[in-house]
Amino acid sequence: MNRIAVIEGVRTPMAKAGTALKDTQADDLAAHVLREVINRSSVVPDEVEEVILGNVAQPAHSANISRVAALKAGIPITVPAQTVHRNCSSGMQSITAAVNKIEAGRGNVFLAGGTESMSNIPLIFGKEYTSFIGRLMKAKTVTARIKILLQFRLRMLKPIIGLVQGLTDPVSGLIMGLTAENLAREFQISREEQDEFSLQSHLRAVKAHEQGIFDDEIAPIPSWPKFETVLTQDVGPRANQSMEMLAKLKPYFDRRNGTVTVGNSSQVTDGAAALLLMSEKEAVNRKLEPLGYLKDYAYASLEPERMGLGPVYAVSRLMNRTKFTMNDINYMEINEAFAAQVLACCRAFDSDHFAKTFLGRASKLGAVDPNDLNANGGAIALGHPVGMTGTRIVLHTLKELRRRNQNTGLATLCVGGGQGAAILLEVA
Amino acid sequence: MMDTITLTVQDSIAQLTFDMPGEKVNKLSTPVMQELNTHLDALGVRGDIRALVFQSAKDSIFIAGADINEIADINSREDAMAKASMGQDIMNKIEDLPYPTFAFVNGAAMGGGLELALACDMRIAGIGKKTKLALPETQLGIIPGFGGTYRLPRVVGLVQAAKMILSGSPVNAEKAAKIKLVDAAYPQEFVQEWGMRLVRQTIAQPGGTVRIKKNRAKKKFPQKLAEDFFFGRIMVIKALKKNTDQKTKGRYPALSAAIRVLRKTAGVSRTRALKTEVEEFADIASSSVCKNLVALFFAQEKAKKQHRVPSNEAVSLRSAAVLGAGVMGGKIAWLFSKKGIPVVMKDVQWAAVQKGYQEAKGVYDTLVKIKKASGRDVYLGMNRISGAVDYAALGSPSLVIEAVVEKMEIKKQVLAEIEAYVDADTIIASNTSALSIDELALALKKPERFCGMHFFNPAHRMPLVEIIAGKYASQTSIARTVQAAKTLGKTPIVVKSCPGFLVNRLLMPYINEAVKLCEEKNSIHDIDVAFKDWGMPMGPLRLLDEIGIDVGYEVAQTLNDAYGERMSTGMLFSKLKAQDDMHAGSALLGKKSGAGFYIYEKKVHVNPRMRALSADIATKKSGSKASHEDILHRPLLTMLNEAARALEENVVKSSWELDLALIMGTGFPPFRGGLLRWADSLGADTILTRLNRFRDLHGMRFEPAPLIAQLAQEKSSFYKAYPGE
Repeated sequence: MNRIAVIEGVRTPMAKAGTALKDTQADDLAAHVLREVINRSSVVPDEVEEVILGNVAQPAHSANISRVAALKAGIPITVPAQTVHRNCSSGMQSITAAVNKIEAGRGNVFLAGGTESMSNIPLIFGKEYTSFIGRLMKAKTVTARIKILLQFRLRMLKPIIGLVQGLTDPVSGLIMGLTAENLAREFQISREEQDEFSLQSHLRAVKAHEQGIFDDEIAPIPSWPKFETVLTQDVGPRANQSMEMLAKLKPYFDRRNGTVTVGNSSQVTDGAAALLLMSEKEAVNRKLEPLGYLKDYAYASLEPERMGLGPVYAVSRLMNRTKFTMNDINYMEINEAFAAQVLACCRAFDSDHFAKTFLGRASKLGAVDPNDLNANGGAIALGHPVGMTGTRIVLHTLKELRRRNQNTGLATLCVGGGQGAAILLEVA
Repeated sequence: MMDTITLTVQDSIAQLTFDMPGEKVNKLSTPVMQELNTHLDALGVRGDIRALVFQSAKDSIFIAGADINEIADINSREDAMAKASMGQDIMNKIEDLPYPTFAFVNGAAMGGGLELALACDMRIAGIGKKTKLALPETQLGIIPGFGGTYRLPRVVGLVQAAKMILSGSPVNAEKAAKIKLVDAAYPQEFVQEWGMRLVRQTIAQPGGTVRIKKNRAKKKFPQKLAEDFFFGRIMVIKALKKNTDQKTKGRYPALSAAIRVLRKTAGVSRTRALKTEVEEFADIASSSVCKNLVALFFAQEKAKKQHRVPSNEAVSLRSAAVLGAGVMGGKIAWLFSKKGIPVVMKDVQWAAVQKGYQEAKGVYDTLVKIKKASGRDVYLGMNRISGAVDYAALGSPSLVIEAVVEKMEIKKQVLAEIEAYVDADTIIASNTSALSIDELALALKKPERFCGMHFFNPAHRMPLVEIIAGKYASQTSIARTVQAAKTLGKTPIVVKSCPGFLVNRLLMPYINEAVKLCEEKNSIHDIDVAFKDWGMPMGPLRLLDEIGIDVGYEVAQTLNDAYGERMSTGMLFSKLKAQDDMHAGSALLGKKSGAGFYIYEKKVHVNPRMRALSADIATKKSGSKASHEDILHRPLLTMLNEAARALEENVVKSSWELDLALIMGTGFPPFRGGLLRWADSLGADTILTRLNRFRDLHGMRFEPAPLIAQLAQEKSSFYKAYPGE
């Protein structure tokens, strides 16, 4: 395929659910980044062919959130918008959907991104209560209404927690944390290893903030509804994080035998990110200097209960399409859904046995150098707004490659339900 | 001439369609009224008609009311009486037709237009943005004169009628249906079809209109109590009178007249009610207040038409940027946001940007509180405002307004920086209130794209924007900036660059003179009350508190430097400065610090400290307590004298622009028509005499401007000498 130019990109600071961005809805987060990308580029919004956003929780108040966000961002009504969903890689799906359209000759300039407000995922009333309310609204006479009211039971009010339901795979029946426990067992990854990885994520993120590394990708956002502050930095990273503190935490998903804790899992977080994409030719015609290029991408799938290994499968597929090897990769992001899951991926990348058994390859894909992986911390420290992360790591991989003065990178994600996503990126 | 109203008759239903040739709107001018009269006479004797419909062929207007030019031309009581009586007679003819009459109000029905609709048996309104029903006469200093004061209370009840007549504000179709001003509100696209169906139904069953009228007359008990019983009515009228008097202090005779008419005509016969109406109408239609308000209306219309952008140079205002996100920056950003234009506020720190956000949100919150905006409006509106600390995040604004601190060097630097980032055709405007536009322009590579755009505080409410045309500014830049101000809903006045521009140059000497009065044994209270009673929204010393005494001092100093002796800063200022009461955080800065000439507690009262300070100066100065007239005339004539100089220097081209600027920018009492109109009513020779006396008593700052001497000699007036286009 032809390369696609990434012209500009920004993200909001990321805030742990229930903190600084709790009153900002997902559509407002997305509107913010769309507007900021436009403000930072020379492209006027009516030149955009389509706005494509990824979003997982799909809030009820803004169906097709992409259109709502685009209009709120001041993008003209003449520019269409669609919302895409591929679970945790929705923020990559939006990018690759735009890539496909450009490749098919269906437009040259696209806005793609992802948004999630995990603070605002609602509690859901159960079926029993829903049906009760339904019958009550249908009742015409007072007596009929009283009759139905008498059928009320307190247990009807017990809510289903939307967040938990969303993070549970209905096929395997496992909540995501338990799929990570599966990988910890399959690859014999100890609690200490996971905690060490998590500590490193925090320390790297704190250092990155101190050095202002994220400053050129963050578009600070005012706090709704009172506008008393402007959030300029991520909320998640903890400067005082220590092994002792991590060790104190109880396993969250498998309380008896587990190793996965809230400390070595990604944080539940709010945020949005967006990129301006166009064909390389279009960028040349406009004499723009892109942040970098998207060279190719792949999605792959596997057992839902082993979903954390998705990046390995996706990279293997991507290698089959293009002639690159892990030796060509200068820098890589594997989204830190769980420490156990990233460590499992690293082992699988470096395992001949795994390659033969699962990937149909003669030998391993190649080892990942920890120094060239998630160098500024990942979702464990920064957080994982599910619909947004895909876009964020594409943006960050390009920015980090530029900082390192290197050329080739990979941005990868594991996807709930048993999938993986990988995007191959180049600076020049 | 019979060319505005067309009569068609089909199936015994007559339709009179208004379509004034060569005009965007339908007006009830005298010729049109005569034409209508002829039609009605003919229709009255025809035996084949069973219903009559009034409608308009104009797109967004039913009938826009009487011709305001004719109101302006009324020059005697008899003239006014004749005009109103003719209208009343015609409306009576409509009311007296032997068959049902209908008004299809699908567009604006203002003044006489609504009075015509009220004379019909039934009214149908089209639901849509263009339909507005109002009796705005009081805003022009008159009252409805075609039977509106008689019929409206009988249709919607006394309380609603009083509301509409006293405020002059319009109701839309839905509201009109709710208060029973119209009998049905249909989607505007269906008014014709559904309306004709209703007409056919009504004439098909005998007593159709009677039933609807009965239904209309049903009132809820509290309304019945207040309106249908003698004592209830007295209470309502009393409350209205009190409320109006509080707001206007009797300055607007039309409001008092309207209340009087409503009181006298409640429950009386048509003949008596209409007689009362016409008499009151005639009394005020020839008054100077009415003339002044009509002139103001025309000035506003003229201002809208000035400095149009040639169509080949039109650039749409697609986005804007405001540099400096303080109180002013935030409010200006809000203005863009409210009009649906994306805007970026840039400052040097996020903390400052946040203040700007809060300013804008604060305005929206107020609107929500008074139900002028919904939560959705706020969300959408705030989403149109972005913040930045970096020029790279500014987008491609078509207009940049610089509103950073009032320091020449900083402003110049910012202007030079911004020019490097924006498109070649972006207009750059400075919101400076005092610095020289011509010097600021030198910071730019292309000074022709630069001009002043001076908003007044608080920017979201003050309607005036001074557009300062520096000597480098191109006509296109000025026209586009004027256009932008209009887009923001403001009244732009183009002025030449001079220290203080127009409004501050006139206002500051006026305040300064009030301060000097205060230094001469005149009490703070006496001075302010005199001006409030004269019609100013607040006295000059209270105004100085609102502006901020430190800010006022700065402006006074700048003007003193620029114009010398005649604008010498008051001693009270110097004294406050000397005793270190002018620094930020001082307690005597005016309202913002809680105290100035007044102390701002729950109840505002005169600050004894300021009283003592001025008394202290007074003991050292000669001079005695001034008469009430001198208290008024010293500041006003100081302002007038400066206005004359500004006209001579061509700072502003015409008298009406100067008057409009003062009314819109300082709240100069509209019923006085403006400073120059007031001066013309006194006469130039009177003014000259008074100025000469003040000069002899108080010094050379009252030396009459040459223009005033000239006008006195030629027995001319400001409006004759500077009529404008």
